[in-house]
Amino acid sequence: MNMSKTYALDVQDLHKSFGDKHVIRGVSFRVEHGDIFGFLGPNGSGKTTLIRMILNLVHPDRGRVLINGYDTRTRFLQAIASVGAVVESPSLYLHLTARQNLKLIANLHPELPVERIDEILDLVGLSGRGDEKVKNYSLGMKQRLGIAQALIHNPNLVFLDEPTNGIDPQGVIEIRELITRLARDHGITFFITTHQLHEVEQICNRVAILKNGHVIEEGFVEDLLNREEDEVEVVTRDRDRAMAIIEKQPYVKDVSRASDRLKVRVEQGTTGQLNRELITQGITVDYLVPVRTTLEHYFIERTEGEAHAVPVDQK
Amino acid sequence: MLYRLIKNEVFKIFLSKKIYAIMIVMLFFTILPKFEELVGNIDIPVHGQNLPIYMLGTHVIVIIPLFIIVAVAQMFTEEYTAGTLKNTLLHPVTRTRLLNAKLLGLVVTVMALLLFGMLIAYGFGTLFFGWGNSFYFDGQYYTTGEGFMITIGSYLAAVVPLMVFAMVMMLLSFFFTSSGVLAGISIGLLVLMNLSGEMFKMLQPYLLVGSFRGFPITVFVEGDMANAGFQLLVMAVYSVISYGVSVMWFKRKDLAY
Repeated sequence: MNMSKTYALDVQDLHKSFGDKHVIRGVSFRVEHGDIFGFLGPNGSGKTTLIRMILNLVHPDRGRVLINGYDTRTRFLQAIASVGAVVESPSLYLHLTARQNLKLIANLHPELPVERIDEILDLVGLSGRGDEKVKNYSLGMKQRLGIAQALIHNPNLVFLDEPTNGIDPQGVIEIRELITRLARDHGITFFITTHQLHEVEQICNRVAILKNGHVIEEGFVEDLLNREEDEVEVVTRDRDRAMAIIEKQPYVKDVSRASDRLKVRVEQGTTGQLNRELITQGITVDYLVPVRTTLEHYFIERTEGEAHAVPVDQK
Repeated sequence: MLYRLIKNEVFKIFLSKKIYAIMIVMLFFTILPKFEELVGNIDIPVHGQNLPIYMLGTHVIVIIPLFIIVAVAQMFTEEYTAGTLKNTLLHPVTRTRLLNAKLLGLVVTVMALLLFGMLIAYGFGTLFFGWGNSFYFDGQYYTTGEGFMITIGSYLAAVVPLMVFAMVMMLLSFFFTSSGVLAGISIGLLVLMNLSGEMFKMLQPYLLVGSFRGFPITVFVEGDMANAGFQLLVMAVYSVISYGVSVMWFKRKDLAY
């Protein structure tokens, strides 16, 4: 093993083509131990292919993957030993019970005590339904069972591909809490792909954004959202005069009309000054609404190049 | 780990209804001689001692090859498209070992089916026709002890050509993503091989299907070791090609499901 710092996951310059289509184009990023790493990207950006490449299900054309310091090409068995994964959707034997499905995985890990199956069923909230055939399960229950399969052998790195797909809002909250609890209490590193950007914002500490097979952004969530400017919406009936005043202020970066309001981007910390200026100049400001930059806003901006900010009061 | 993987494969097969359907079919075919006797169609002495050796042909030429086709379609094609094949590969298991475990799991299952077939033939044979005084097969009389040796040896030897057939089916399974299509093509191939053997006698020694029943009989009844050796050589060629190409293919295959 490499004696320098090891990452939970170290992806270096991965490439993959299917025929003429270059799907993954030099992807590199690192996941630290303890991270809840969100991996974002529009549909077809290559997220699932990349997870499959990391897990050796799809062979990379070039590049390498280190899991806990082990190169997956040369020391795959050591690398995969501490990994749990749900790729795409949980793959289950529908004619078997949940307990039987878990038994098939537990059999591969002789060190696991027999009571581990009950423990894990309890952990994912399926303890009362373990002896039911999986074909009778709802989508949410299958997702939970998939997570149980991924966790049963006590991995320290878990890949979850769209873990909240098809789950009702209550189930989404439960899965989010489960991930947070496991990361906090058991020190498990999570690598999560999802379309639920507000979920990522709530549970992930780091993210990477994949677009057209490239990682176009990677970093801490709070850093990505921490801009050097604020955005506010000014609601007033005297929009023409207000616009003229706002445009003259040196700390204003941009102003635009949006139905009954004006959208204004100002230097960080100058919102109050703008409000005072408008009042001083006799403008009746009905509301001045700060717009919080969300990960969703940021994601759309980076993947489509178009900003759609969500006012805090509309969230 | 290999033992645990084999255990998983056998566990999955025995939790599926397909194997029990095959056992019911075997049961049905084993009681057929009684109906044949009732309509006066049996022209050889059949009784408890020799019904198993007569039933071997039915089991290994028709029923168990069909089971192998269905089992391979389930183990490889269905598991691949359902995504469950990758479940095992997300644990410290090499692809070659998984392939070996599936084949060995099939060996265990086929042996269990043959044992079941032999025992029910002994049971129903004795029940319907009595035990008999001696073992009779192919115009020859043998002692009961010799009969046991021939029967048990033949059932065991039948595993060899059946497993070679399973390897050919395994190779075939990598070309299809539909288990229905795979099963249809495999059954077609099985029929074609049987027909070719009947139509062109010079091809028969090279067609695997001839060895399903032929190999055990050659070894344990005819005692023709030269012919048995030739059949083994043909089977070895089938196995090396099928297994070798399957392993290479599977190791390189991108698992897209």
